[in-house]
Amino acid sequence: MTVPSSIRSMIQQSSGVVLILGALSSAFFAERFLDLERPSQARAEALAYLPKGEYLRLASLGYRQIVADIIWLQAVQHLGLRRDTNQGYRWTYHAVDVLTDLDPKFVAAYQSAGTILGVWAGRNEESVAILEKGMRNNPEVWQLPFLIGYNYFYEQCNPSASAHYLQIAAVLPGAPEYLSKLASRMTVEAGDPQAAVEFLERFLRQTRDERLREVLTDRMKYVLQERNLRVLERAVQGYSATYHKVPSKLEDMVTARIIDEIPLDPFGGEYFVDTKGEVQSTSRRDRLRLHQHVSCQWRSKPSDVAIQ
Amino acid sequence: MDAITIEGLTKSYGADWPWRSPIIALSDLSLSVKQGEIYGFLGPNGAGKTTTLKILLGLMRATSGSAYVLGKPAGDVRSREKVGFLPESPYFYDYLTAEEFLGFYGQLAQLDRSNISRRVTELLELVGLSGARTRQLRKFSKGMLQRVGLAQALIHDPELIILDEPMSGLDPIGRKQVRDLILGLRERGKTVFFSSHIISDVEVMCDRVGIVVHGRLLANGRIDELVTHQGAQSVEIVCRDVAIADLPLISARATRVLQQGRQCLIVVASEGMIEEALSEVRKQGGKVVSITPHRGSLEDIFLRQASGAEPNPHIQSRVA
Amino acid sequence: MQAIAVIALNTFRENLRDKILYNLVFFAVLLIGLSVLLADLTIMEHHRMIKDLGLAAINLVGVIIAIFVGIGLVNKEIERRTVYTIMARPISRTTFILGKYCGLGLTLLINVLVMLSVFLAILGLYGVPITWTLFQAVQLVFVEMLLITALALLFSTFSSSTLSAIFTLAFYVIGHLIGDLKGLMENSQTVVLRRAVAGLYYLCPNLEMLNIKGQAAIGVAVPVTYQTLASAYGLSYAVASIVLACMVFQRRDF
Repeated sequence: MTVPSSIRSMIQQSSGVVLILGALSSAFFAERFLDLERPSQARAEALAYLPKGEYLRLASLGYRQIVADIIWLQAVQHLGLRRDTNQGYRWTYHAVDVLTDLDPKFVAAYQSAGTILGVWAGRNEESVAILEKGMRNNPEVWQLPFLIGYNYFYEQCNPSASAHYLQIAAVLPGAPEYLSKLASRMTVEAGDPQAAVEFLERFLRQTRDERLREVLTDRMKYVLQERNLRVLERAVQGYSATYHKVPSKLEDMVTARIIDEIPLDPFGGEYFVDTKGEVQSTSRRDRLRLHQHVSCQWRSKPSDVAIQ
Repeated sequence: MDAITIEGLTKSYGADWPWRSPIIALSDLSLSVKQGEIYGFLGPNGAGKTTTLKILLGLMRATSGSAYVLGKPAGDVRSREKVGFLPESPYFYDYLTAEEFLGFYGQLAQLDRSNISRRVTELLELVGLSGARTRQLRKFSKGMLQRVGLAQALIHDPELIILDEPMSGLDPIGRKQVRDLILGLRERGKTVFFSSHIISDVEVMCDRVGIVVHGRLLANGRIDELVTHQGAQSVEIVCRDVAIADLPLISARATRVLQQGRQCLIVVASEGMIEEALSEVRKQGGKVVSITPHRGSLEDIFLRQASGAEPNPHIQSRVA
Repeated sequence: MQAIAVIALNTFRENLRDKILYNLVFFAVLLIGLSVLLADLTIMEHHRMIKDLGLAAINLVGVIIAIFVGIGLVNKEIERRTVYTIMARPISRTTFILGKYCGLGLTLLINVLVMLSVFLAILGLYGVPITWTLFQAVQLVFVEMLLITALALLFSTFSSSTLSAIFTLAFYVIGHLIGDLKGLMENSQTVVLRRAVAGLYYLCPNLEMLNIKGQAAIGVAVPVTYQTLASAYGLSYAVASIVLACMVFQRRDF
């Protein structure tokens, strides 16, 4: 029996189509499995093995910005995942160092990496180092020294270093006027929570990144709470001095005209005074009093903040 | 003034590097082509015909010797002003249409616009391609390419037309067309210099021919003289009413004998043996049907020349 | 002069019919597609990347055309024997070379202009501020293309397409490396090596001189003096290559 040639050619064609589809789908599934083999953490870690910037610079043949952009695009994907541990950001400094070797003018990369390394990852030396590199290459951008100033103030408990950088930022074109004032307050009233609140407010005002705003807002609440607690404690001391006893409740101090009112807790809790005269908040059981400076209260447990 | 004068032309390749022994493509070639004649340049493939043409057109430089085209030294830009050229198995810009193609060469010849469109129409008519005017050359058959190439060579109405194997690859009708075209050019007083390795093409139209083998000019003159002189290569005798078996004498000396029914075919090697064969056939009462002397084609001559170490001294003497 | 124009226009026509300008579609799709894909980024990064991408794509597409069309410019004519009937005309070889070069130059010019318009249109679409520096960068990119074309033309007069491609690519790569290489070598202890690199530095065109894409993308202009000098630098190399190409071609047998 002979098959008509038209049917034969149809069979040939359709078997070709089947073959193509088969090959494509096996490639697709292979890729899925390969993806599973390499979790995103591993892919992010791969950025740590980028060749040094000076070599990559040679290899990119005048297309340095594009190579820098590509590295940044990869880095941004992983940065966006907000890994909670310090170790999760091991690769970040190297990747950003390489890409800013390729394109030293990539201000956005310095800014984001500097912020994330400091605020989320607690890798403060790296944060400051990458921002300082940015400053060297872009001395006209005030945001870079501003971010270093922030890092020194909040993450490293070093208001004088912070003030130094804020002063650098203050004289650069486009810098907000309050920076110089802020800088001088850093030096004079290093432990003043009011200064810290202002700093945070300013920072918050010029930040558009939602995730970062969230962290900063949170942080501001801590500072406000701490400020309130200090105000109340000072009041308790005043009350004790006058009445020779600890107030049984905070409202007693309002009645005694030592304070006008009891401030609201930013976390929605209630303030109360314990028998030893220490003021606490119901929203927060473990008030950290390890440090003199309010700005340093989270230093011992950086992850504590980042996870909030 | 002769249209082409070549004196002592020598071309060797590969001499640029000391460790390579040069290949001699042309050796001491001299000839001249008179104005208004058709000159056929004959030779087997690789004999140096194309090399000679290329030197004349300035596509190549001679190692030594001189060549003049229309009175100007070959290679000089102005020597090519009144020359048309069709290369062997022409390759052209195949993305152009026939019209654009001819127009391009018209512009290169610095014809003005109106002149170009008139000449393009005329020439497409002449080579029978009017219908393919707006077709791209990549869709042309080989014969059409040859013809449009010829039109290209004629676009600026040149004095001297140089054609490299103009008839190769053409069908019999195409050959006749090209032949008529070349003859028509002579009637209008043009000079045609063309190369070929096919004797029949040359025979019918050339005034004179030159034969080149291994880069040497072996003969230069009227074609009938040259070929006749070589004598017949073989003679076929067909006779009737006689059997091969009855012709022992001639069978022994013939190159080939063949019996086909009542007829028999005897092939002998030279004209001198014809009489001998005929007398034996007659003696046996046979009738002679035909005697056909086969002149060797020029290729046969070339092959013989090529295999022989030295050129035929007789022919050599005729060159002078 | 007229013959140069005739050959140039025919070369341009060849490029058109070879559908070389189709690359523009590829360019436009690439640029528009990536711009859309990158729209998730912050505004600042998005603008920057569109500009980086546009300039790099204009550069890359132009250089690819310059190399891969340039290497066939003369060599293809000889291999395909189309050169016979042209050189059998009263045309000097220099005329032929100049005509071929100008033809590809014209193709590149039109290509770059169209790419630039697409680029500017996309910038306009995303509201990216268009700065004068972008034009500066593209102008120097065009000089780079003219230079690469001249080199490709030079190699195509004496070597096959494949070899010409390798040579031209090598010059392109060395041209971008040589500045950094010289910098690295300046501290070298080996005098011979240092001299060799210095020699190479002055022999090869330093293509980084023509690369201001990075600063152009962030809007930092170069002085007009630099622009003029860099253009003159690139064009001088191009002229030298073309003259050398003419000299080589003059001596060639077909």
